Amino acid sequence: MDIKFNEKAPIYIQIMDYIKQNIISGKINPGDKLPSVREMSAFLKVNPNTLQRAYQELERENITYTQRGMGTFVKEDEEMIQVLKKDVAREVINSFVERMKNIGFTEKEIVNIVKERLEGEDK
Amino acid sequence: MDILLSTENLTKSYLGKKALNVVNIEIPKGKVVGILGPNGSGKTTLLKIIAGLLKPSSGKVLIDGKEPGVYTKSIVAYLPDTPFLYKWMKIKDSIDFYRDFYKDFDEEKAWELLKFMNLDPDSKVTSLSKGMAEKLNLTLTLSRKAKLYILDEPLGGVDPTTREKILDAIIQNYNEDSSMLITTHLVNDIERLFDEVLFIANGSIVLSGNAEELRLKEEKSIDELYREVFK
Amino acid sequence: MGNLIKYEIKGYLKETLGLIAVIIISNILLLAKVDAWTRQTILALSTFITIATIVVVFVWNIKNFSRDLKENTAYLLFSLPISSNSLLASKLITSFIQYIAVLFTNFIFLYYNSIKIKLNINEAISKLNIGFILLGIFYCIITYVGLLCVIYFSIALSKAAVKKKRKIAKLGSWVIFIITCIGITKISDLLYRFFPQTFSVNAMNLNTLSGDMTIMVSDQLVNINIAQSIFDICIAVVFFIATSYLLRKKLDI
Repeated sequence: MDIKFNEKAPIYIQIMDYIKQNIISGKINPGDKLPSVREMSAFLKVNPNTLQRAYQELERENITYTQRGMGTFVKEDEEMIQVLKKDVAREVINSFVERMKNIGFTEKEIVNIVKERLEGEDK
Repeated sequence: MDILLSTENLTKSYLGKKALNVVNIEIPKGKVVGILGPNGSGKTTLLKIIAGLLKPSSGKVLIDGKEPGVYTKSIVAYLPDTPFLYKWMKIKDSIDFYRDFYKDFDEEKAWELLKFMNLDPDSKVTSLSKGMAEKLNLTLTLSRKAKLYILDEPLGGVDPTTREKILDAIIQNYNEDSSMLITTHLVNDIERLFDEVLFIANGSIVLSGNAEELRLKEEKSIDELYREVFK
Repeated sequence: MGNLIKYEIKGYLKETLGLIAVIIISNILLLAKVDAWTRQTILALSTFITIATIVVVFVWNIKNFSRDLKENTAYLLFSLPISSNSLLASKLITSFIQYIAVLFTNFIFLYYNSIKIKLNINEAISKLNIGFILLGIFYCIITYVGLLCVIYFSIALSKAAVKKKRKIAKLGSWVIFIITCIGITKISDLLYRFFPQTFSVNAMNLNTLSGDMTIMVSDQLVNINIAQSIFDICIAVVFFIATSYLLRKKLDI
């Protein structure tokens, strides 16, 4: 998988988002070991320190924990994952609403257009 | 020594013109530092002084606490931006050369890297294209277990595939006990590798900082920042 | 330093072997002319070849040094964790190895040709005082080392002083060299005048050489000025140290 990083924003944050996405979507399961800093940095082609920082932040946010000598693991915490899901969803929704508003939609129009879209999907 | 490189009011002048003007840097171990600036800004001069090839006009430069000399040359791995091998050498001769003179040379790693770079050990150094020569020079330099790697424009004049390979080799070479100084004016490809960046113009450092923090603060990529600083 | 010497030799291997090949081939060609030309002529020409090859090696030695300061390979050489003394010494030792190889090849033919003229070389050599031979070799080495060091010094000083223009640097090295030589000669003369003490060495213990060529030599006592000899040794040492200093502290690559 090749991720394109947006170099305008700190990369470690983008890496964290990438990992969070994978946790939510189930590509990474609770209890799974995350790849080592060395592996990941070679794979993503970024500075290992950047990756280190991302892992540290994830741990600070209580999404992962580190076992000395063994690696970094995703917490087996269903609740945490749900919270994560909601957080990510909230961010997506916020940015979506912002952008729609920028285009010129009112809040009512936004709700309608979303309904249309979702109902269309059912068909 | 945790600070691998420090310079104090480092100045280098040539006949009135200052190639480096009162430069102060401090680089701890475990960092990848980008030295960014246009041609003629003093990048190469700085690296050459660290390598011990140029002598400062004034000011100090300390590598692992020592002034440039025989000891520092044994812990500094310098990659010049021009071909530098003897013309009579074949690739395998250059490997032998490095092995003979540098105690920290990892010959096994060198052969692996050569394979990774698709280089034939029997080819003459003079027969290599610019890209292949760059790959060889990088192989030799990175196969040393040095404390300080200084790479002068490692991506200059090579095609994108070679560039990828060079970036991969640089990333894999990282370790916490050494640091790398990389000069370039092709910021886009390589900015992801930098911990810190130093912008240099007309021999002075005009901007420096942690790459991620700069991205956060300026809301730009380092490449965009570079274009802005050097427009 | 062994490694340095190894690579210095490798750098000039083709040329040196080529020169030896030339010596062998040209001498063999000369020998083929044994019916057309006299032996004496052949010996003379063989000697000429010897002198020519000495000059060639001398020029190579100088070029070897100046090239290492000028070309891109300077980046490689001066990044190595070696002392400037080792660097300089390796160049001197390599030049001696080259000379030994070249002179040895030449001497084989000179010896052969001398024997053929019934020039009683063996007898002559056996009558030579060992001390004299050793002293002669020692003196040759010291003088040559001194000469090379003065030349290296001139090249290095010129390069250190003149940063940009190549042509000026070359001219500069010539100027420095000439001035230095004049200075050395002047001092040497002064020493001779003020300290005329000499020591004597017995060169040979014989009177004549038999054969086609008769050479009258009497018991030759060679007088060597002490002060000048010490001075020559000092020159070699001083200029070695000076050049080493320049390479270490003053040279910008």
